[in-house]
Amino acid sequence: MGYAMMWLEWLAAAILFVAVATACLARLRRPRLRIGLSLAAALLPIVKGSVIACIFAYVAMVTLRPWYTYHWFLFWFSWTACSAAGIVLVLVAGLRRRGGASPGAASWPRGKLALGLVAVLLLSWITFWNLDLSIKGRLASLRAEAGALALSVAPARPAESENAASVYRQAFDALGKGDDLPPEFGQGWTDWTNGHGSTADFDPADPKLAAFLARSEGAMSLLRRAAAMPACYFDHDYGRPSIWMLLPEMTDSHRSARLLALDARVKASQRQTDRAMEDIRAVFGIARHSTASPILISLLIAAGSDEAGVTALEAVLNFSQPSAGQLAGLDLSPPGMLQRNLPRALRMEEVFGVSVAVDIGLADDPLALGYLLAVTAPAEPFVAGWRVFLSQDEVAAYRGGVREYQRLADLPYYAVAAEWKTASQPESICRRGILAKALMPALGSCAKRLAQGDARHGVAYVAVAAARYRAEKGRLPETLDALVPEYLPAVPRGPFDGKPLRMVVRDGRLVFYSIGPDTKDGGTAFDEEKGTGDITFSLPINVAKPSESH
Amino acid sequence: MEPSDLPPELKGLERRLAARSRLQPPADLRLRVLAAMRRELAAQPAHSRRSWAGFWQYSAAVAAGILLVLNLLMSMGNRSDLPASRAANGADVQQVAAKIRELVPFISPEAALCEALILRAGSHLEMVPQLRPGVSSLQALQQIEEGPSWVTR
Repeated sequence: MGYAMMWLEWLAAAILFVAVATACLARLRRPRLRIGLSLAAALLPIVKGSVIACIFAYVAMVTLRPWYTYHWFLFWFSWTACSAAGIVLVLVAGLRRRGGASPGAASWPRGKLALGLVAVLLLSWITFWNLDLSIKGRLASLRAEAGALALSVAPARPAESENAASVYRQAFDALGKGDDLPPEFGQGWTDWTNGHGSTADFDPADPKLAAFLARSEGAMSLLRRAAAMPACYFDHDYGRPSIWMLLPEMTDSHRSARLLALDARVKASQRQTDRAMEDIRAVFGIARHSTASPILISLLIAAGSDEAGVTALEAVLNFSQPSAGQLAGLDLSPPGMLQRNLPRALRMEEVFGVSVAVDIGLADDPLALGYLLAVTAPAEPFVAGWRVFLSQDEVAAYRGGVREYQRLADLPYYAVAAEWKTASQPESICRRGILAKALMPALGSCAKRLAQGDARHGVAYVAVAAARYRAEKGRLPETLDALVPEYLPAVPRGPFDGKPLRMVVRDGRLVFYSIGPDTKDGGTAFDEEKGTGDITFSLPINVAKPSESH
Repeated sequence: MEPSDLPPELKGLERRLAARSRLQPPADLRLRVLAAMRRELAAQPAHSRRSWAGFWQYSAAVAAGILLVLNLLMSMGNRSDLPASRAANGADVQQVAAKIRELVPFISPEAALCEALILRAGSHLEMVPQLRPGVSSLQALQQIEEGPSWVTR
């Protein structure tokens, strides 16, 4: 209704403007000047309408929509066409001479026309103002709605005796700021810690490394204690989450997991299996606690920590054969932890996205406009135009996209892998609008990443059960079904094909694997870049005798 | 004086004058005069009607103008005090994006920047709707102390 009123009022204003200009110019004695200036005045509203229509056609093309069906393009195109028709009629009536006398417009009442023009301009300004005001109000309530949604996905506060947060804080303080792996350890050791390097880059007997680990032992002891606690809740205002609130803890958690994974490898190489297993248990505990934060980045960091734990576990199981008690003490959570937390994280992403849209709409965040819409120092009319014409559609389209992701995240990955692929394609995102194009690409690949993390955790979970079987029975299981129900409640399913995880003997090793994102049982190593190959965890068939704690 | 008392020459003149043919008015004169009178009579009330119409037109224009201004004033009065702009620090966003890349290495630089940007927006969230516009500071303080009506109700 408001937009129809605005359309009509602006049309009336354009025609009246030309009528006033023609009436004034009709008094000029030089016909060429009179006609030229009248045409120039007539062109002004037509050019304005054409430019705005072109801008909306461009917006439609950028977002891969057919511009000729885009409603805002049609709004401005029809306005320009109707204005042009009305203006031509006014010019013909105003500039035509009657029997050689002065043009018709010379007798038009200029004062009344000017008064009418002022009234129509005022009216159209009021309409625009009211529309803008109503949208500002809606954006403000949207911000409140996003705040409520943020609170709804905030983690529950556990009992103080079960909360690991204060122990973590002590551990982080003990670790010190910036006291990460010493730089002289080099990239090789860092890669080794992350599971990407070879053992050739790493010397566990390095005295500097031993000194560093000895220095960090107090913090690691606190970390082990904290990670063993059932829950972790850092006292934050989760109704107003921000990166500055969470980043220090994310960074410290990530550092802690890496440190413990490194210590586990060193301890395993020193045949201190018990200590190594404690470290690995702590790494998995940190990963589990990191998933409590309903932030996607936090979930991805948890996936990274979990991966560090799996890599360290594989290394430890290659160095030694832990006892059944040590393996049972690992207390690995069942696979699927990362994907289970994805819907919550996506709801929080929706909160963040809506908050950005509100910030842009209320001109609270010119920086966001600059980054997301590639518009630097936007003028107020631009922001008002964005607000009145685009913001509502853009927010709705963005929320539609994120809710589609949320729907998919609620289902097993293998059941909707094709839909994930389609929904996260750049073209699909682009069609949802400018805001979605700017904010959503970061989300699309996360589901696959988390599914990979779950697959990696799943094969480790099965491998630990098999290692327990071997520790108790002195031989490896012939099939994974042999582990059920004593060691596993059921054989977990791979997130990419929905089928039970597999086990094969390859190159003298027992390989547990999950089909990778390419869903091909190729028996090849997993390629992170291409997303091909299987996600594996291997155990040596022949290892040292089981060892109790040292 | 009786006509019989007139001198003979005047009597003769009188006879001659009476014997002259008289000028007759046109046949439609009466109708034309009547029509003209009718027109005049009809024109008089129409003129006064025009005066009335002008008065009403003027009044309507003034009323429309007043309504327009009142509408505008009401619109301006409804302007709520939406949050003022916050100072944004571009360097912070870049730093946070770099940190995110460090923590989650597989994320692309653009995605990290986007995440850094949207994660800072969460701190602008509001838990309750904005205070009503036009509320004085004292009333606003009371509202904050009492809590929003939908909570206290």
